[in-house]
Amino acid sequence: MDRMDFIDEDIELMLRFQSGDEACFERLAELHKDRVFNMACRFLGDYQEAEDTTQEVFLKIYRAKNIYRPQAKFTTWLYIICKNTCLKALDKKHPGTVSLDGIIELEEDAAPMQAADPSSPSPVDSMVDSEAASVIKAAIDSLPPSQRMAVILCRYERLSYEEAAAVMLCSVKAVKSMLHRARVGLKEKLAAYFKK
Amino acid sequence: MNCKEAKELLVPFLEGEFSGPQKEGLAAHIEACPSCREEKELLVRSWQMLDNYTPPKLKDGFTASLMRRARSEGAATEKTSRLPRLSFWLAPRRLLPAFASLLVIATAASLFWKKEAVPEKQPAPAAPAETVPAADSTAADSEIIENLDVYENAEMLKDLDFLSELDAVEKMNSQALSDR
Ligand SMILES: [Zn+2]
Repeated sequence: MDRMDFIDEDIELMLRFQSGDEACFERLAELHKDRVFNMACRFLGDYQEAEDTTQEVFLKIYRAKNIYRPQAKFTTWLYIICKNTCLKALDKKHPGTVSLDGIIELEEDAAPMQAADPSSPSPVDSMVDSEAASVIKAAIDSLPPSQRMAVILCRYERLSYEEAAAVMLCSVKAVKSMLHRARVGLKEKLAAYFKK
Repeated sequence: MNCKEAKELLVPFLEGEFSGPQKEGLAAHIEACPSCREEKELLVRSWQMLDNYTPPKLKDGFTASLMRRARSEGAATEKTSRLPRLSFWLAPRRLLPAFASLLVIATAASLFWKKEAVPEKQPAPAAPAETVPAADSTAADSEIIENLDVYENAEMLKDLDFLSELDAVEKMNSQALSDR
């Protein structure tokens, strides 16, 4: 199945849900729940928060039943909702560190959500089951939120710069710049691991 | 090209953003310079290493629990579905403040009118004008009151960021094109 088939299927499901078929919403949730959860998990670094965020994302879609219009790829819309919901969750945890208007306004020097030192594992580290994974998780957690989101979208979700820019409500240039700084930051955090 | 310049260009180089002489010049420097070569290796390996972090699985029963919550919420906000589509009202978001002021003016005007119109037969034993009982309301009043009720119950209106999500999607295509 190629990419277009996915797009058509999602939009069609949403339109059928709009006309009253709840099973289509259920199908959409089944199809995309892991994508949303993974994104929330990587961004928030906490299983329970990620699960709550995933539920909130789909509830927003459910509530949008009457106002949805198929004007863009369904997944782009899904990522935008997911990003906003993640930011809201982060703001709840660390009030004032993020702007909910758009990720581009996130403070670059906003406090990372936890110490990046993998030698002091926090409860969330029980989420990962290998040393490498916990080192990577700590490195990702240490990035400023905007860079973390850029890495999630471009590296893990494999979005193009254009798609990531649409999700982050910023320019392609800004996405590239966030990604470049993230790569340098991650290299610095992870280099020690290779040199062991 | 010196090492400082080369190192700053390594990430865009790895992201495939260069071509022609710039790319060749950088490739030649990396080939010849052990320090830049190591730096490049670290960038490549750290980026590849990200594959080793997979979040845990979302627990079974997620969709079932989501559907229970969605349905109970849906039942609670059943009233909203009586509006065929809110989009006529929501779409021009710039008009929201104007709409809200109109609503306030209309409500105030109708209350004022009512106050004026009530003949001063008795020296008001009870409530002030603001708490006019619904039974006394004109058709226009009750329509406004009913609509307010519906708007307040519309979950999507509580989530104003949701509107920005819709806006964003609408802008997306043109923005993505202009960035190319
Ligand atoms: Zn060099």
